[in-house]
Amino acid sequence: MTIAMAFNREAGLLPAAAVSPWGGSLAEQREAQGRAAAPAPAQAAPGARHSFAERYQPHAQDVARLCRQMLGEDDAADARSEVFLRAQRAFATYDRSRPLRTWLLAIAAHHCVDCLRRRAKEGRLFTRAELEAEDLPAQTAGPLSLLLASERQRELHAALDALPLPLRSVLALRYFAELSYAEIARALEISPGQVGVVLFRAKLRVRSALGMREGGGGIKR
Amino acid sequence: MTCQPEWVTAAYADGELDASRARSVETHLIHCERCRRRVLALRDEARVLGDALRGALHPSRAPAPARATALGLPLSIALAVGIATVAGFILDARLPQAIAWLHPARTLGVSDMFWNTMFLLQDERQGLLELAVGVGVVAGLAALGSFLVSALARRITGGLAAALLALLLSAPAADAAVVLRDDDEQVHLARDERVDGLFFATSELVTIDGVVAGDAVISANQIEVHGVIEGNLIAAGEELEITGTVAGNLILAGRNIDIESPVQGSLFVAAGKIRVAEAVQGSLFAAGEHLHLDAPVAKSATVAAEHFALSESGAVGRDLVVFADQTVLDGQIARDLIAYVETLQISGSIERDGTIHAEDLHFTAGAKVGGEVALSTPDESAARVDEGAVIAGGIRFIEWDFEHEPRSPFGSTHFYLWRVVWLAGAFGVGLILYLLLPGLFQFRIRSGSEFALTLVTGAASLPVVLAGCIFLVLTVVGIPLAILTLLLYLVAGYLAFLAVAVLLGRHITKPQSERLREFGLALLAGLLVVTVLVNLPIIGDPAWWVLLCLGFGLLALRAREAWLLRRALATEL
Repeated sequence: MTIAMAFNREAGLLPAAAVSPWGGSLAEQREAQGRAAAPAPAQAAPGARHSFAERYQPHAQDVARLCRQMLGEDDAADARSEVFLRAQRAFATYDRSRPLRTWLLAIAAHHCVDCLRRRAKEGRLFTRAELEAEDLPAQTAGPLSLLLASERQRELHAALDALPLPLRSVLALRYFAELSYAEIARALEISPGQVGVVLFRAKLRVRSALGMREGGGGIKR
Repeated sequence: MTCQPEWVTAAYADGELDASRARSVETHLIHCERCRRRVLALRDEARVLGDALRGALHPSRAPAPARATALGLPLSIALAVGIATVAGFILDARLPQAIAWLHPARTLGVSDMFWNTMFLLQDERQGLLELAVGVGVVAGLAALGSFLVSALARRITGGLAAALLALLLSAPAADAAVVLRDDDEQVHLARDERVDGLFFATSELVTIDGVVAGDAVISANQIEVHGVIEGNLIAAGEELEITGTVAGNLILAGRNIDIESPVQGSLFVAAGKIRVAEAVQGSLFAAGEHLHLDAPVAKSATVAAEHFALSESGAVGRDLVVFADQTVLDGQIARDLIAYVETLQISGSIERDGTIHAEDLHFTAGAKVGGEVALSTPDESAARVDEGAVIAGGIRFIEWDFEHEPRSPFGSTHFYLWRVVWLAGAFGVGLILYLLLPGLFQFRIRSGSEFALTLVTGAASLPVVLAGCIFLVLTVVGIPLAILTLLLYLVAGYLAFLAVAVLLGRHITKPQSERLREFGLALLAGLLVVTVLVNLPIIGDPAWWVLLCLGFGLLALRAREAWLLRRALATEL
């Protein structure tokens, strides 16, 4: 009983991103695009009852991938089934105006963060210093370019693989799961601003793994 | 305005700055070409990362996560084990008289105490106990019923499949001829009727005058068999009268059972009043209040009754074993008599020896014993031997040992040997299971509420399965399914302890991988804890129940999860 309630509460905690003070105009656009593109809600004609499992099916692979990215191979299988069950229990509270994929991946995010936190010392995924912007370079030589990435696919993958799981999780939540900063912040229990900081740290690591200089040529603030 | 730090620009590029900050960045972008280019580059980078993350990651060689040291469960178990062991030894060694009832040898566990209290209550306050039990049962059934209904409503297909499977399993193979007669009032197999194959009948009154060529299974209020049954007869009812011929075994349960037909096989019977008036070619196993054996039994007879009478025309071809309050033996026993009774009167003959525990024993004139009588009575005057009674080997008094102190099991080496054997066996079974079905042991308990849910599920499964089996037996047709269910349940009971052992073991050893060696280590550690825990004095018994329920719960939830997953992820990579 209490478990189901906990899951429901968790799912209820994930409203559309626009509510957040950080949800800017672009975020709203993106949400709208996602809504239009997502096929799942369109199929859900009133009266037509799709079982949860049927609707889950098209996104199962994405959930699995996110779990792998956030937890590594070993625990992903467990997490995947856990996410399915959680989502199934919380399905009654699913707000049908949101893309199902985002909703599912948000649930997966919460679950995986729980797992990560259990593993971490004192339940903290990031050190205090990691969450602060103090030592971040104001300007860097340059982000990863499409051209470079296509030439050095293998290295890029290796760099992502080598990232500490919390950092890789943040990247995955943003650029794979396409969750808003606010949603990610809620899952990680940090502020949306800190999401930006951590995200940027993760990018810096990837860049430096690919041999790109950081902090070069920038205007220091 | 100066350039923003890059992480802010990145957040802007991601479209994640709030409106006012986004506006200020945009104002800056108008003037700063460098930052404009940077925003575009950051968006490119976001796309690059997204693509890379969408593509397959290499099989990760993620470093084994440093797990937080769990102190809670293992530590508390260790503490409990330690305390209980010390307490057990102290209790075992020196025990004040006042708390003698706590003695591990006298009361092996809390459930014994519970039952003792129950019996006490039942004697003293009958109505109260029944009321409490009644309310509990009704509440439990109501909760269970609503749960089942809601579960079924959600998975109507699953329920249907289960029902179909049940039917399929319980129905005998299609080619075996089955005749099913079901009527509210009465089922009558007329004199000239003949049933080939298995005959099922349920009704108020079942009368068989014809011939059943196979087995007959009958459930009715009143059952009369005057015809011929060429196979076995299995019957349950209030009044049973058997006057025909039964070629196979006779298995009967009822209130009044009258057997006036010769039985070719053995006779198994449980009833209030039982009379056996015709010869039984096999053995007799009977339990009842009043039992009269007026005919010879060719083989052995084992009897438990309040009143048992072996009349002059009755006889036992081999041994007679009797547990009874009042026993009168006028017939002949071809071999030994073993009797645990209150009063025993013998005027018949026993060809060999008698082993008798009785509070009152009377050999009347005409009694004859071929061998010796080993007798235990409270005192020797409780045995009377009349003039004319012959006991060839004489009477040997043996110690009246009904009220001896129960001995603590902890003193015997057998006790420890068996525990070791059990542990080794369970370890082997666990390893084999892990090799065959590695997914079986994929369970964890992450929170208190999950623990409670598991425990409650397991505890609920006990009465549910039992009630289900009883229901199946009542339908008569479902008997094979009921037996199968019980067997499966016994297996599950064994697995339950393995499951708990794995859970505990993983808590203790914290395996880093799923390799067999690490699993084995965890299993061994868990089994050790479980074995010690359930054999501790006083707390061992309730611990056994808790672990059993926990294990059942783990297995049940795991099975449910596996079923859901299989349904949902059938086509996933």
